[in-house]
Amino acid sequence: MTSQKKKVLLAPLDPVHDIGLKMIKRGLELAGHDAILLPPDYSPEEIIKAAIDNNVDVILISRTLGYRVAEILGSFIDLAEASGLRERVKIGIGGMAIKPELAAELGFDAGFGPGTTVEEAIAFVEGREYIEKDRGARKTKKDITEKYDYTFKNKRIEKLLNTIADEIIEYVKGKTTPGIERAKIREKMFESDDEAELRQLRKEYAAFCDDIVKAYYANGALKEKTRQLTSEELKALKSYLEKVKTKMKPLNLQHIDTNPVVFIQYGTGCPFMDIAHIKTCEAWGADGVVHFDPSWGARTEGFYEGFITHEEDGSVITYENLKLIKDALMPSTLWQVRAHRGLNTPETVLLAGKVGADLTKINIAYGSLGGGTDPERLTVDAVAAIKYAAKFKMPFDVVTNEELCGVPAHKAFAGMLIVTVLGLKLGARPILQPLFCYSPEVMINGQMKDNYIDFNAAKIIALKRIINAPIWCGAPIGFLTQTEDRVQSSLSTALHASLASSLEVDGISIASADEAYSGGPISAAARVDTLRATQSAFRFFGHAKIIPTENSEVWASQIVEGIERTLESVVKNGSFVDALYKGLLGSREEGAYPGRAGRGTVIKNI
Amino acid sequence: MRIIGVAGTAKNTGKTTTISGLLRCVSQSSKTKVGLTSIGYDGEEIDNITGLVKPRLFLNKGNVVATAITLINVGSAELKIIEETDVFTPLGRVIIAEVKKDGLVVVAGPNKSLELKIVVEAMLEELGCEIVLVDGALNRIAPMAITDGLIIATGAARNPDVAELVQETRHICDILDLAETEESYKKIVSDIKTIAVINKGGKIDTYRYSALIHDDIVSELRKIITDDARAVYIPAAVSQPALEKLLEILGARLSGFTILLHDPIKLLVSASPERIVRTINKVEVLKGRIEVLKKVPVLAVTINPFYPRYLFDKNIYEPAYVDEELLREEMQKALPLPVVNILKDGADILMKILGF
Repeated sequence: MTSQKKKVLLAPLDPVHDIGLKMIKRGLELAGHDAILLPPDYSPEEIIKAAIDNNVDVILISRTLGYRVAEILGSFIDLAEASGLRERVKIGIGGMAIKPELAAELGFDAGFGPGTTVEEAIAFVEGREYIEKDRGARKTKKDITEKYDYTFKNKRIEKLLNTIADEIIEYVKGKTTPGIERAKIREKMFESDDEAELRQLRKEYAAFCDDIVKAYYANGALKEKTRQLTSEELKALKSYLEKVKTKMKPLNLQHIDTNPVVFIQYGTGCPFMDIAHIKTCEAWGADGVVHFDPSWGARTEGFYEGFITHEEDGSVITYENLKLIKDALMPSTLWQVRAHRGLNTPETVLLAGKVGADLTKINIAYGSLGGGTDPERLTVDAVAAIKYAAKFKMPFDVVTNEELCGVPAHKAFAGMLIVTVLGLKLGARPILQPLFCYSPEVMINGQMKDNYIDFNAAKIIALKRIINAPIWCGAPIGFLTQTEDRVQSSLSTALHASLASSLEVDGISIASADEAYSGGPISAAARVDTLRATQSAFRFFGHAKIIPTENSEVWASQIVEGIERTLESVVKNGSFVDALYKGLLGSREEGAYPGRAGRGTVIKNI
Repeated sequence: MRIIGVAGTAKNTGKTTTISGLLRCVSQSSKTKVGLTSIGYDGEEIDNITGLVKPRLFLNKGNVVATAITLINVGSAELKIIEETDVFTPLGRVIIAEVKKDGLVVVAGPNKSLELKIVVEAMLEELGCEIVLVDGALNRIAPMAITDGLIIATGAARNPDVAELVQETRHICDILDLAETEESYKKIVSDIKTIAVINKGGKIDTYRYSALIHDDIVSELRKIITDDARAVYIPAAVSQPALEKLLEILGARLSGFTILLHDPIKLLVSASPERIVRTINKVEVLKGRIEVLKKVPVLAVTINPFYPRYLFDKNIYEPAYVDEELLREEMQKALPLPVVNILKDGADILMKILGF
């Protein structure tokens, strides 16, 4: 016990409800205090007399709020005050509808609403100043790669991957791209504060850009539906953030230590709107946020500069935009800037690292087979990007979204593992990000005809049999199982989250309840839906497990064998880049098309 | 008269509208430095309980507010903290701040008499406020015992039956108008903190309770009330049923006997005003007296025809109104006090009563 022993009267000013008080009574007694629990339905006069007779230090009242109950509680406080109790007895109120504002209005010394811990009530009893704890400060940023050593359990696969990764490193030697050159110039810009030099560097940068970006560096012109945020908008953002900061009382989603960290994805097109979404999600417990860039940005050589908004999905990557978002984050929030596809991959990782992102996303196989970028170009760019990720100590995930095109899991996983080993060889810390949803492969082959559990479980089991590496289920989990019904979508997300947790993965990305069918910007309320659903699911299962059928083991073995076969074919082919064009990691028949953006832009023999 | 309380009979009876009207008049007509605090939580846009839109509190530059520290940036007014008090609310420590730029404020100040007194005195003495307005909360009135005068805000939100509402308001005013006791009694009980029986010849018997709120307390008290007893002093709350029980015990001895309370609010908080008045009348019929050490004068009554009507089928409240003219006429007929509808009449009449 940390303070003087107190005598506490617990009184349910209510016909029936006293469960909360019973819990507090136990907590108070464990903390060494005396607690007297009155039966329900005592009159205010009887409660006050009991407080006087027992010479108590504190009264805790519980009451369910309803019609005219506020007046009843106000009368109780008045009577307590007129009886002279309040000069020496503190009085707190608890109940499902109680908020600090209401407690103040009712005249109590403290209010305990839903989610109040017994510890908070004890702190009040012990006379420690009642300020709601800054739950955000208690949240800490988690490094999900920390406990992994990346040792291979499947030595055959390890050997094949080493061969392929070495070939890639050899392949990119002496090659560069406009994307790599722009990143190098951008690095020089960061180091210079000489205006003349910066002007010259911008000219050099523009020379490596597409026409729509060149126009910006020539005369400030931006593409249609795109504009700079005004100074009033930036001022409003600052004021919004100051207000939000004072109100932030973030929830924790995890119930046990092994529940995965939960990421949400944002990319409304407007950094201000993004920040509002991020703050909402932080408040409701999201541990991490993922920056989605626009699809045109991925297919355009070069980045704009400044605070830019546009009326399309995905938020424009500029140093300034990223800085706005970084500055808005709680210190505990993990932040990922995706660079896995497109023509600006190295510079994206450089900007993310410079601004202070925690994570990035790089995958050659997905970016070139499902993301629209030329395989050769992305291979050369990705090696440079991974080097930046290593330099900034930013782990990156390797997502297998080509599964959504129809590529079977074993082929997508082969691509993922190649980039993983490439990352390890270049000094980075990769994270496996298998798709955790209802993919075209299973729609065709029927592995999810009975349940959504077995095949998702098979994927995780397969990866764990191969390598000791962090796993972050993507992206978003439960994709294509969700409908326009927000309740159904939330439940489906929560069930997938529970399965991922049961399989002991490290992270998950979740969608909002209206993400698949929003037909426009998604709503903050729908974000809260899935965060709350996930929190409830974690609470429901705790350490209990979901048990897949024997199919999961069978399919896991098939996936491992399929990965091995795929890698053998790539090794046999001799060239990784050529294997991508040939469809060895996902063929046209399976829905994977080698991208065309940036084709023929690799500069050789430098 | 420097500390003015605005107490409501229920939520939505017009406390905040009355305070807002006063603040507006003060800022327009004089350079008076006004202090503002609340024994509840006020100034928010939406009512905490009914979910309906509420009037808000606007303060001009130079005025002073005592509120919880967590609320200083919630309104649009720019506030500079002058003093951090040792008083706490569920929303944090109470601070006293000066308004640096006009705007809306959200107020949650001290919610008990002793702390209200400390904070209000600091506003008057240290910050130079000429008047401090204390905003009430719900139907709560107990902390208002420290004010110099009260404005009672009532209206259809308390009871949409005009006749019943008028009668109740009359009863409240009658209770608050209980006679102040003679100086000799004031002197005798000035240092007494518990219930005390004052006997013939000045002998005083004290009792361990300070509030008369339960039959058991009355039963024990009976033991020390002898034939020599002339008065009983109750410094804290008196509940109407306990008072009835006391009358029963005293019976015929009540003739010439004085029941002495600290202030009328100690009785007002205990039951419906109608029942309390019935008991007071009984005392008078039996030729006894109920008197108070300190009066809390009612300065005016403000009326509000609005009430939130609860729709059971939709589980929401909707705005509704009673006949304003009828309410005003009936109220004025029943009370020897100014009756004001702030939204119609403005707060000028109240300003005059307060001496501005």
